[in-house]
Amino acid sequence: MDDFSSDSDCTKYWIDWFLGAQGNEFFCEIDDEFLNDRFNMTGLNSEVQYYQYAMDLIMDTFERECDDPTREQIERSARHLYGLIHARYILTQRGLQKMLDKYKKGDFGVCPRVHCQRQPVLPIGLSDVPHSAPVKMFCMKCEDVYNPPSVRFASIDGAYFGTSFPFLLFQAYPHLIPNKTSPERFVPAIFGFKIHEHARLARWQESKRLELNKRLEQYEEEERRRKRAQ
Amino acid sequence: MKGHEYFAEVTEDFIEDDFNLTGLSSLVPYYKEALDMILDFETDPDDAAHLPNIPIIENSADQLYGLIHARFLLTRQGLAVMAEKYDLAHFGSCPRYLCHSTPLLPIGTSDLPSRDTVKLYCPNCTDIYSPAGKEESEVDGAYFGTSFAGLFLKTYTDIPGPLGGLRIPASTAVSHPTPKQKQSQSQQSSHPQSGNGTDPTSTATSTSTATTTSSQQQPTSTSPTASASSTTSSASTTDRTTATPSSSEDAAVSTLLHDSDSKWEVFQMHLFGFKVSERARSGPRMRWLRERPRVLSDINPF
Repeated sequence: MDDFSSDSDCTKYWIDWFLGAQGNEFFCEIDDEFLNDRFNMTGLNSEVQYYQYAMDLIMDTFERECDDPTREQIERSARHLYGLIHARYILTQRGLQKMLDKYKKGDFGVCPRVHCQRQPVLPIGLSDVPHSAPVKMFCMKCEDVYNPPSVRFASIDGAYFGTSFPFLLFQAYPHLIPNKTSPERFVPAIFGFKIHEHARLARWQESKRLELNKRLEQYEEEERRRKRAQ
Repeated sequence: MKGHEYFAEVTEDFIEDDFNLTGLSSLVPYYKEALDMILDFETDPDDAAHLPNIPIIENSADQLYGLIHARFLLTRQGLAVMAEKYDLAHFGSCPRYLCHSTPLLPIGTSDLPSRDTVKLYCPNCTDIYSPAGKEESEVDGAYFGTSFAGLFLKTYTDIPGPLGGLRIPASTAVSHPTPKQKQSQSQQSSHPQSGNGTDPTSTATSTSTATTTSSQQQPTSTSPTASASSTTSSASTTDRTTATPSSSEDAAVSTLLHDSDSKWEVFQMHLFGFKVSERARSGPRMRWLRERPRVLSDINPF
C-alpha cells in the first residue's frame, strides 16, 4: 500500500481517504449512525490498541498532539478498527444494501472460472479472527473460494469481511442467486477423445448432482405436503 | 514479448519440415510470406512490390507461429520444453484457494484460430480458468490446442490427476518420469527397461515390486494410468501399503507428495458458524463439482 499519512490532507474526511486508498476498493462506507452507536463496538476495545484514539481518528475528532511513532501506531489501529467494524456493519441491512450496490457494479471482480462466465464475486474471510488469513473471493455460481487476482489485496485481512457475509447477502436477496440448473463443466480431451479418469470422475460427479436434485425435489414435496396439512 | 510467456520456442527443424505444416496454408493468409518471416528469410524484392504492408504479414506470421506451436507442443520435444516451463510455474498457479497454488497448464477450448482465448487448466480441480493478466488473456487458445494439457498429464504421470490423491492399486502401473527424474531413475532402477520409443518405461507387475519401485522415487502408487485397468475392490486393502515416493528435488514430485498426504477439501458454506442447509434457496448446489470419491471403488468403472 502506498502513502498512509493522512496528516497532509486535513481537509478530507478520514473515511473518505481510507476508502480511496489503493487496495481498499472492497470496503464500503460505514454510516455515522452505526459508528456513533457504542453498542456496535462491543468487544473491539480489547482487540485494538489505542482504541479510543483510533475511534476519534475515524470520526475525525482526533486533535491530540503526539509524536510520529505514536501517530503511526494510532493510524494503524484506526485502519484495523475500521476493518473490524466493517465486518459487523456489512451484516446489517444498510451494510448489505451498500455491498449489494458494489456487487452489482462489479467492484469485487469476476470469477476466474471459465464456465462461470464472468460471474461477479464477493469478498469473504476464511476466519472471523483477525490476522489469520487474507481476504478471498467467493463465487456464488460455482460456490467456491478463490484468491483475489491482484497482490494488493493480499494485505487485506479476511476478518474485515467475515465468513458469513456472502451467504447472508444471498439469503437476504435470493433473487440474485445465479441459475445453476444446467451447469457446464470441463472435461479434458486428447484429439477429441475424453481422458478416461477425467470422464469417469465427471460421471461420478454428475451422479452426485442428480442425487442432490432428487433430494431437493423430495424437500419440495415435503414442503407442499406440510402446507396442505395446515 | 509481454503476454507471450506461455509459449515454448519451436525448434527450427520442426518448422522447416513441411510435413509438420500440412494444412496450415489454408488457415493462414499470406502463408508463404509469413513462413519466410518466421524463419527470417529475405523476401524476394520482386515479390515485395505487390505484397501488402508488413503489419498484415506480421499478423499472419503470429498466427502461423501459434498454430505451428500448437503442433509442436504435442511432440516429445515440445512436451519436454513445456515440462520445464511447468516446473518453473511459468503458467501461474490455480486461483482456487483450496488447490493451494497448484501449477496450471495452458489449454485452448478450440483448435481453430480466433475462436477463443487461452485458458489455464488445473490438474488438481480439473477445471479451466481465465488468465489473470490482461496480455495473457488476449492470446489465442488455438496456439496451445485442446489436446496438449491432456497429453502432458498422460506423459508425465507423476503429476497427480483428478484421482491422483486416491490410492490406486498398482498392479500394472506404467510411469513416464519427467526429464529430471529420468536421469535419477536410470541410475537407480534395476528393472529391465523396455525401449518404448525413447522413453524408459518400467512395468511393475505386482504390488510388492510397486513398493520397491516407489521407494526409488517412482510415483507408481498414485499413477492415474493404473486406474484404467484396475478397479477391483479386492485391491483396496493392499494399495494402502504402497509407500508414497521418497523425497526428490523435482518440483512436480513435491506436488504429488503434497497431494497424496493431504485430504481432498471442498469449501463449505457457513453462516455464523452454522452450515448452510441444502434446503435453503441459497444453500449449496454445486458441491458435486468439487467433490471426489473417498475410495476409488466408489466410482463406477464405466
